[in-house]
This record gives sequence, C-alpha cells and structure tokens, in this order.
Amino acid sequence: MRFFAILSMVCLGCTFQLNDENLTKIEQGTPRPFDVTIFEPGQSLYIHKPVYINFGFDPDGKDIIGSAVFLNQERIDSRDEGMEGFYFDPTKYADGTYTFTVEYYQKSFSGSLADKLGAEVFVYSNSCKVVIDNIPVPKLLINKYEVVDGKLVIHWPAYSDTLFTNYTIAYGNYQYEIVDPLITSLEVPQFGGGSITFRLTLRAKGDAVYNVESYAENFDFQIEPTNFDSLRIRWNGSPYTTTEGLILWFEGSVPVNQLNLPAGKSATDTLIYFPTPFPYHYTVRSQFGGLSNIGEMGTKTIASPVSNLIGNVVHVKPDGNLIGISYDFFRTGYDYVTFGSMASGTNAIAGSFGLSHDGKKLFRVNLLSSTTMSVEKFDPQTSLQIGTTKVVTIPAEPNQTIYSVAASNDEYVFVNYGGYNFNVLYHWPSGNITYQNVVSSAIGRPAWVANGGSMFFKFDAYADLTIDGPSTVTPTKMGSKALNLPHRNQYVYFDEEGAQVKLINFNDGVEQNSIPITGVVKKFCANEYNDIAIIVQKPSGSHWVEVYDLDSGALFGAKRINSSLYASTSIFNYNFQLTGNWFRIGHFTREHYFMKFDFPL
Amino acid sequence: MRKLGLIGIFLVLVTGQTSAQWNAELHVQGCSFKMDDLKALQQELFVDPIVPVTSVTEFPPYLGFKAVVTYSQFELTGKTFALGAALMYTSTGGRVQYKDFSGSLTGDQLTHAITVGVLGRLPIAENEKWQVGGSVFLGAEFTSLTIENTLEIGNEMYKDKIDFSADGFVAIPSVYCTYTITNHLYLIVDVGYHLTMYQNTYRWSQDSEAEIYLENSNEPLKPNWDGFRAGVGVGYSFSGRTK
Repeated sequence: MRFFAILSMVCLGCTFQLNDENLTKIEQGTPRPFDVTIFEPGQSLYIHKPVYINFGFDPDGKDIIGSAVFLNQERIDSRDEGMEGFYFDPTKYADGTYTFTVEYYQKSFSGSLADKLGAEVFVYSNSCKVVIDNIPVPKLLINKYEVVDGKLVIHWPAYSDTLFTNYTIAYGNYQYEIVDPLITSLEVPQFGGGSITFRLTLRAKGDAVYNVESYAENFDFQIEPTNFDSLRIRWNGSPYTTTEGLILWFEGSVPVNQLNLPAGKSATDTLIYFPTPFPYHYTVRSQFGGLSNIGEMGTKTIASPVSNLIGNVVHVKPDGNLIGISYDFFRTGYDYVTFGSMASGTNAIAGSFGLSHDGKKLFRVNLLSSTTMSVEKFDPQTSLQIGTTKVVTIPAEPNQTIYSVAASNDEYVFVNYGGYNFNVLYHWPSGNITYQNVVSSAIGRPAWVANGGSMFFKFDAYADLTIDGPSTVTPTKMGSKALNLPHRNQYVYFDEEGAQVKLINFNDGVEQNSIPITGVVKKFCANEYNDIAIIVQKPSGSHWVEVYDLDSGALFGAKRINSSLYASTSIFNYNFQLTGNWFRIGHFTREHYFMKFDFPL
Repeated sequence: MRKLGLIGIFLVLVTGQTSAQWNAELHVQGCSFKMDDLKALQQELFVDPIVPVTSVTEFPPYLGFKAVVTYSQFELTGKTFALGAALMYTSTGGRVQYKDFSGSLTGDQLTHAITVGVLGRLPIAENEKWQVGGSVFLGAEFTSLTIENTLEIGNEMYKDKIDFSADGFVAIPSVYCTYTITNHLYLIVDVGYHLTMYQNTYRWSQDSEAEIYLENSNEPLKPNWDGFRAGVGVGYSFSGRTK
C-alpha cells in the first residue's frame, strides 16, 4: 500500500500542464483630460454635522464610469458614475484633520479586457482638507421670560464655544437674528399676548443649524363673558405698566370702537362691563411699545335681551335680586349676582317709574294730558300690575314731561313734571294728592332721598323738602346730587360751592362729615351700603373717577375712564349697585355702560 | 487486493503450476484521449465573451504512469501465464483563454483518472532475453474534473472553481515485449488501447445529483479516456528471470 501511495503522489505531481501562449496585442487608450478642480488649493472644510458636499462637477460628456471619495487613504464611498456630491456624516469618523479626495474614473476605450470590464481607467482627482468636529453644540433653551415695562423679554444662556454665527429667534411671522453671542435676551416687540411659541436657533460651527428648540411662552389672555353684559379678561405674567397696555376692541350694532383698559393695573384680571343692549363681538389686543393691531385674542358674542333704550334705573333691594327696570319702552329686572334677566315685559311700557325704598312697591306715572296723570302700581318682582290704573287730576302744565318719580315705603308717590317746577305728592292708598307745589325754579333730576316712610327731595337750588308732615329742613345747595344713606341715617350730597361732599343727618340736618374734593366735579354718587362715595371729574377730554371713604375722607384711588368711549357724550347718571363695587354710567343717548372696579383701585 | 489474491488462488487451482515468480514494473505511457464531451464543453464555457476567447489547449495526448505487479506460477498452453494488478494514472486538460496587456481571462478544464485493476499476460514467444506476448487489463477508473475560470486584471485575480468526478469500468488489451537486462532487471514495452466498458456521468463534488449538460442537450457529460496507450517501463523480478 505504501508503494501505491507513493506512486499516486508521484503521478499526481505530474498532472497535465496547460499552455499559456495567447497574448493579444492591443494599443493603450488615450486620456481625455478635464478639469476636476472641485476644491481650491488650500481649501478646508469644517464639518460638524451631516452635510451634503456639492462638488459642483458635471460629469456629462467625460466618459466617467466611476468615482470614489477617500478620507485619507480609506475609500468611504464609490459609485459607478460620476458623483456630483457627497453626503458627509462626520459621526462615522473620529474628530481630526483628514485629506478628503474625490476621484473620477474615465474610461480608457483601449478595447482591452480591463477596459471592457471597466477596470482600465484614467484617474482624475482633487483633494482638500477636512476638519471633523463631532463635539455637539449645547442645547439652548429659553430659560427665562419676563415682562419689563409692558414688553415681553426672553432670555437664554450664552453660547460659549467657537465658530458662532448667530442666534435666531422666530415666532409667528417675525424673526430676529442676533450676531453677538453675548447678547442673550430679546425684548419682543409686536407681541400681542396669547399663547406664543418661540423658536430659538443657534447657528454655529460652519453656519449650520445645530439646535432648534421650541419653547412655548404662555402669556395667555383669556376672555370670557362673565354674564350677558361683561367680559372678564385674564392674563398671565406681570401687570402692564404702559399707559395703554390693553386695547379692547368691540363691535356690536355700532361701528367698531375701542376701549383702552386701565394701565398700571396690579391685578391680573379685569372685568369689562358692556352696555347691555347689544350682541357684542369683541377682540382684545395688547399694545406694547405703542403698537397696535397685534393679534386677535378672541371673539365672542354677548347677547343681551334688552333694548338699548333703557331708561332710568330704579333700585329694588330688600328682596334681593332685582336691581333695575326700564320705563321707556321695555322693562326688565336683572339678578345682581348673575346679571340674568329676572323679569321682563315683552311690550314697551311708557311712563316714569318710582320704586319704594324697600323695593316692594313700584309705581308708574304717565301724563295723560296737561291736567291729568295716570298712576299704576306693580309688583317689581313679577312686573304684574296690582290693582287698577288710577287717573289723577294735577295742576295744569302744558309741558307734558315727567322728570322724576319717587315713592316712599308707605306708598306716597312724588312726581316732578312740567318744566321741572311742578311737584305733586300722590298717596296711593287714599287716592288723593296730599301735597302739591309749584316752585319758581326747577328742581333737579332724580333728586329724591328716601328714608323709610319719609322722603326728602330738593325742589329748588337752595331748599329741601321733607314729605312727612311736610316739614322744612335747613336749606342747602344740594344741587341734584343727593343720595340717601339709610344705614347711616344720613343723606349725602356734593356741595358745589364748597367743593366738598357732605353727609347730613336725616333727622336734624346736622352736618356730620365733609370731604374736600379737588377739581371739577361732574357727577357724584354714593353707595348706600358700604360707605363709599364716587366722584367723577371730567377735565377736558377725559374722565377720572375718584373713590372716597365717607368716614375718613380718604381717597381710595382713581381710575381713568376710556375717553374715546365717552368723548362725545355726557354722563348723566351714576348709581351704585348692591354689591357696592360697581356702578352704572349712562350717556345722554341712553346707552348704559356698567363698569366694575375692584377696591381699592 | 484481497480480491486479487482470491483470483490468483483460483487460477492456481485451475491451472498447472511452475516455479513462482514475482515481478514489479513501472511504466511511462503516452496516452491519447477522445474527450469529445469536454471538447464540446470548452466551446460553451464562454458564450458571447466580452473579448475574443480562443481555445488554447484541447485535451491533447499526455504522459501517463502505470505500476504493475505480476505473479507467474501457472502454465497455460505450455506458456507461463502471469497474473497481476496494475495502477494507472492519466491526465490531460483543456484551456480557453484571452490575454492582453491589461490581464487575462482563462477557462481551464483539468482532468485526470486513476485506474486500478487486474492484469493478465500470456507470452506468445520468448527466449532467454526476449519475451513477446499479449495482455489484458480489466479495472475500475476514477475520473476527476476541475473546471476553473480565472480573471486577472493587473495585480488582481478572481477565480471560481468547481470539481466533478465520474467512475467507470475499462479494458485495455495490449501487446508487450520484454528484454532481460540482468537476471532480475528487465525492460518492457507495451502498446494497447483504452476501451471504456461502462462509464458514469460527471457528478458535482458538492451535490452528487448535479451533472453537466451542454446547451440544448439532454445527455449529461461523461469522460472519455479512450485512446492508445503506448509506454515503456522497467521491471524487477524478485526471483530472477533465469529458468
């Protein structure tokens, strides 16, 4: 066996040998040079993030059958065509400096085997240096925001690495670029409030965007109707300190108008009372830096069931909720808590109304002729008539206008009519006129005070009259601004000559307190329940409301009323309502606006 | 080998016996081959090549080797009949190729066969120096085929290689002539013809079910080693050739 094994090895070592004499003579190809100066001499690329390097090279017509790119000696990509660019992902390589080379392979066209196989090419190359930097750019976040002098200011940390290009802050349709890395805040102009998203972009290391961070800044205005005739506006952030921080735009059945909300407000919400008659579409915008038309915060509709031609408001107090009634064309009552309509008539009711101080008796008076008037009694809670209509003969007066009606708890109805100078006192239970008076000068408009069964009213500029006897108290210059303060057993009025508010005891007429007032007083009113007096002064072109403590005489505060709202009108009436912290303002055009002020202002 | 021994014992039993004589020989042969299947395969290895490939080598005659051991102790028709065993090795090959300055494309088909079997010799005429006779070899033949394609471009080389095998039974009738040089050493010349008695097809080394087919043919390829075998050898008689 050993013999055969050795024999086999010998034989296998003598296997047939193949010939190899078959060389074909072929001429080598000719290069067709072209320019591949992709990178300028000495050029270097700084690569921090994946980036597409456009070679700007057109391989068409150059018979290029392949190309490759090298990082130092390492082939990092190759194609069967001429590359026009290369997507460079630096994360695949260590940081450092490399030689980046691109090679293009031109077909030789020699006809050789290698040529036919695409392996015989002329090589054209170009190189540059690349610097790979994978150190990430820090993530920048907006780390602080604040409102400074009515303007929103955002802050972010500084970028401290090299190759800074800029910060870009974008929001809405605005964009700002900051090229100084040490500037790390932006006072945001033209910001109208609301929910806003800032996008802070840091550009660094080769002018590429490395970090985009969204940050939601909530400087949110929330607008909601609190009832049928008011809006509550809340916002986050610091109070406005500019003189006109917020503008309330509203649109109803009247042209678009605007209301500058009070500036310098320390609270973060405010309540805006609207005239009740209109369905309102409103928009609140803020204006920083005197700019306006910034952004729409919201639009809602306030629907009111009542006519705009509301008349004088009479008060219904003891049973709680009804606070007013219209006497011109429509009558309604409102819940003073919810401001919902409590009672309303569907038909216009003409006439003038007088409500007893206890709120339980409501009388309507209409002049039927120059010598007769009708008197009706209603339940103010239900608006239902009680009893029958009574026709009363009165002193003749051709001017058939009723100026004021006042009723006492024991159902005396005082009527001032004619040219302000005709007064009668009608006693509903007996059906008789118990007192009539024709004075030489007109008494003022609502000029009654009531105290239980007694009624004070002023019938000329220098005299008061009590309807309880009647008797006469010391004449004063009350004007038409007196109001009663039954819980204090006082009435209060503004003494025009003395420029002071005076509080007088009901019983003896003795002055118990006086508050000096500076400036021109246009209107005066007092709260019947919480010892606060309102003074409205109207210097040229604007309205200022001042609020005083009736006991101490201290000025609680002052607030400017939107001049544009009232510029062309006159304020004719102010009334405190039950809760004591808001009052009604009426135009002579009979548009009524309710405004609420939080005390102290 | 065990079978050969049994055959030898059988022959001893059926024939007359003379003095035993052991001989061993080594031959070098010139071999021709038909290999018609492989030649056809050559033409199909590179169909529509990208370069003009030509046949360089088409399975030409080539040297072979043979080792023989005989045992002579039997008389048949008055002659001393020799019985033995033989081992043969034969190889040839084919090549198609293209080559230029840029590289080469080569398709090689190298094949060899190892044949092992029994051998019987019967002298026809002889004297003290010369002996002329006839012989018959019967044996099994194991063929190997390696098809290897090589592409060389510059310094780079790409190869693919595939191996096949096939087996068959052959007979080689021949005539021989010996010349005694010394008592133990002699020369031998023989001329014969390789006849394939039965031949299996080529089978792929990695899948015995895989065969080779030419395009548009349903017949699997087979080796065909048929051809002349003419060689010269040297023998050694262990007991001496002097009678």
